[in-house]
Amino acid sequence: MEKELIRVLDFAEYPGVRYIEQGDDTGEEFYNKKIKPLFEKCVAENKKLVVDLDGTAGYASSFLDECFGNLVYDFEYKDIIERLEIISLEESDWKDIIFNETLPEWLKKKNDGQPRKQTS
Amino acid sequence: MFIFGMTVGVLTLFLLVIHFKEPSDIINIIAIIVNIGLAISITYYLPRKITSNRYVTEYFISQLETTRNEYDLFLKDIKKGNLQTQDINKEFKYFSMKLQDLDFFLAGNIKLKNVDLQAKNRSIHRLVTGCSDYNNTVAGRNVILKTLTTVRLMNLHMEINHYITEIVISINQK
Repeated sequence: MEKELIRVLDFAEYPGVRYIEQGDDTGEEFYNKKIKPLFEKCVAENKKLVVDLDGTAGYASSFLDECFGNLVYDFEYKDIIERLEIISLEESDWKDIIFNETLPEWLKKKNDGQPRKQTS
Repeated sequence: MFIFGMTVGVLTLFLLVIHFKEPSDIINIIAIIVNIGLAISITYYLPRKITSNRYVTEYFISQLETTRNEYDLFLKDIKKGNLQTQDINKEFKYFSMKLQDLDFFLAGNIKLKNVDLQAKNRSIHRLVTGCSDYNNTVAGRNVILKTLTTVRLMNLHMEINHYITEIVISINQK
């Protein structure tokens, strides 16, 4: 399967927090501007989306939660599992956390009928 | 002492081989060869191995102590509200990389089973950078955690320190 690559570093050297209204270069913004359109393209063209997390000055867990979790509300879960690939050599546990915790938690949230965006 | 013992051993072996008369001499020859081998290993090989192991364990214990001290200071700064969001992310990344590396070597070189310092660090990271206090901090301002988050942070801090102490004890028991 062919691949499309996104580097978070090309979006921000210092990725921000969760929601757009909370600051700059947030997880929500990264999802809306980069991940969602490219994942749509990957589904349409039968490709994989590779997201490279390395090279930034570190993440807030909320940034990663927001930019990957949102996929669950917009795409089929099986498509996400099949087509999403994450590169994280510097902090290798992010990959497991996103696939084994973030995505299942967001799926549960969606199945429980909760809104994707929670007011804090 | 070693040289004297070796000389006597080699001389006896030499005499036994020259004056070999009956089958029981074979047992004596084998016994002397085994003794010589033991003497060499006790004198040279074992102390070197013990010294080398001691250096390795001391190195890892010192690494753990240094990391714990650095981590204590970092968490103290978070609790005091001395850091901005970007400083916190950067430091967590530094500790993630450092602890992943320590986990790798503690499992590989010290043969500690199921050691996972990074998981403890990540729980703390996710508590701090996942909470609303952190996410609602205005850019350029320091992150001030609410009491509830601070108490949870203190508990996780205690947990990782407890875990490091357990690892140091396990290393010393190796």
